[in-house]
Amino acid sequence: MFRKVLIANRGEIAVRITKTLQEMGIQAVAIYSDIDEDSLHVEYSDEAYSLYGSTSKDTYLNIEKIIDIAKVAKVDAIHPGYGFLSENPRFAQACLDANIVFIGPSPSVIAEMGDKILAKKAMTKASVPVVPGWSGNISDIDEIKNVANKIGYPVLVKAAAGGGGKGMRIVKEVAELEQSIESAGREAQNAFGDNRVFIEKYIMNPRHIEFQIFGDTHGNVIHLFERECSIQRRHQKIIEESPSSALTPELRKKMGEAAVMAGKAIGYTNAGTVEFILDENKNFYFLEVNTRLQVEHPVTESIIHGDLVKAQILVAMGEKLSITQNDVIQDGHAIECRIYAEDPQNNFFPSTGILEVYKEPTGPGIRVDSGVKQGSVISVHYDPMLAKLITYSKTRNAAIEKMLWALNHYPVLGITTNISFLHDVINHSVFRSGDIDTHFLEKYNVFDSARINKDKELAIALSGLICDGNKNIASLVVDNKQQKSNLEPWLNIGNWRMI
Amino acid sequence: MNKIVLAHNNEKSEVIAQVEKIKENQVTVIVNDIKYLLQLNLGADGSACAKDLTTNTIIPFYYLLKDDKIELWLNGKTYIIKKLDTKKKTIQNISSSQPMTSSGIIRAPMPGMILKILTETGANVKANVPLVIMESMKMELTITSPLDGIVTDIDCTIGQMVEMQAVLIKLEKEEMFEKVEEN
Repeated sequence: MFRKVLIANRGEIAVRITKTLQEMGIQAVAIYSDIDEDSLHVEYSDEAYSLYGSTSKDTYLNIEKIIDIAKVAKVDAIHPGYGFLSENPRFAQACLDANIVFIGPSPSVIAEMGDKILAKKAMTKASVPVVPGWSGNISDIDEIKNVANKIGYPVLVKAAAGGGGKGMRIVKEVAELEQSIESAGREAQNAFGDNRVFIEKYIMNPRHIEFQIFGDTHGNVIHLFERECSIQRRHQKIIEESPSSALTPELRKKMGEAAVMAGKAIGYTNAGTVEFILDENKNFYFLEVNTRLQVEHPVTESIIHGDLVKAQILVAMGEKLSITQNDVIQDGHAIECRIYAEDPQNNFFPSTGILEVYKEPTGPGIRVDSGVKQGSVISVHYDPMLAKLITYSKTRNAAIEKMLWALNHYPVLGITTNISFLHDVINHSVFRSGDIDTHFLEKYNVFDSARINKDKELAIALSGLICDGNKNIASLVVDNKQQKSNLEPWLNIGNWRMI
Repeated sequence: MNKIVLAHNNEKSEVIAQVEKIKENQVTVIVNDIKYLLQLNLGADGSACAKDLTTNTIIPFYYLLKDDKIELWLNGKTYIIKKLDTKKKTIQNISSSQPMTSSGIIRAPMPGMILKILTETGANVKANVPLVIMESMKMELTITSPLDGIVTDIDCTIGQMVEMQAVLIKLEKEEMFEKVEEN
């Protein structure tokens, strides 16, 4: 039984893990950088230790400092959250070396799955479908050309240590091949210190479908159904849901079995995610295994009515999974939107400042996992994700309606967020139809100008009222923030009149 | 009577809000020929609620007064409304968003940290050549030259935190330079 657990993370995920620990009667230990001294994850914790520093390298990525604090605080285990050190095998090993349980899979599994070439080899061996491709000595350009011809263009060059689209190139024809391999290798070297790349067939219009898996230390591995994460921007997921509207019960069963097979083949323990891509003909291929709790885990928690963090802790304490595959039922529909501090009207550039007004929506079937509150300072130092908004209902349509309501009742002032943009995506007819793929945001201009123009006069009227305290007649300039890049409605407003 | 100017990118149209107090908390507002009879309750925390007394519609909203601006959250959207000093309400004075580059002045498009400076004072640069790499919230952004020109000034240093719109580099257009030399 754990008495005390250190959370080697910050923001919403640290808050979320803290809540489950406390519910289980376990003390939650927070660590924080100079910037995070007054942040919500510290406020929620039972004990908090300073990392003395401001850069990530000096703080949340500093293995030595974190292990030292864990020893001083006498914790039984460390939960790494996601990002930062969560998929770093050296960190998992350092925990074990210090006699502290690492809440996650073993260091060797993390290392194997972190190497995309090794991971793909392991999956091929386990008979999990993989994207046709090649890996080997990249200086043997003639052989690569042969392979690329065989699998057919376009092909994708990917980095072995890859992630987030770095070290990735789409190659349309043989003439581009050699140069793409070189530049992808260079980029991978700069980003990950590892220049190895491999080749894969480029799947057109794929859907991103991932399966949550869970393994215990007694050899049991089950899956907790899928999440569809096809709505992405620059390889970054922004909306996730479960179930996926792409899967039939037969395909779901097949993919679930493949995910469990993948987990068993590598001796997976704790929470993990097997990512697949699904092509237009509903063929699925292994993409990668994420050896940690995912950002989008609340989607799964909603449809299976469970707590994945609690299950992670129980498994880490050596307990057997309390359920078998047949006990897991996918019930209802859940959608998650990632709330980012960014300006969709200005290239999605990050927005910083103080959350002067911040009020989360509440209600049945509405969950907000957040790392901020009114008054929080949003700095340039960390990921722009403020919170995750999850809605749950019986059907996809009902979950969509609930999400639209919740987004409309999520006021944030002081910084710019993507809330209104998310509303337009969710409300888009193609998203509603469920016929989505990872290029959705490139294909459709989702900005809803009618919605933006609807309340224009009212907004001015209300501003006039607020100004009225100072002057009887207000004098205002309106800059409709939601509208910057979409000019056409504004070309039609020539009827503004002087009275 | 004062004017309300609705500014959007380069499109600017003038609008008037005419406010008249009927009794305590009750006002009429006329905007663009639309007349609202409103009852208003303002909360201290930025929350507010108006009732349209003509239609009995309840209008919850949030507001933030900041310098000469009102940020307004209404029905899931944010409106930024600037108060205009009626005495100097020339359109030039109220440019809503400064362009990122004007006459070769390169500004930070987002707040963040300067990671790399890829040029030096006096350097001849071509359009689209990377000049500065900055980072904000784990996002890397390469800022390129908007024109062929000569770097006349570098106003940032590596590791420096800069605000949005901060001047990073000053450039002079090549033609301008040549003309100066000819003269």
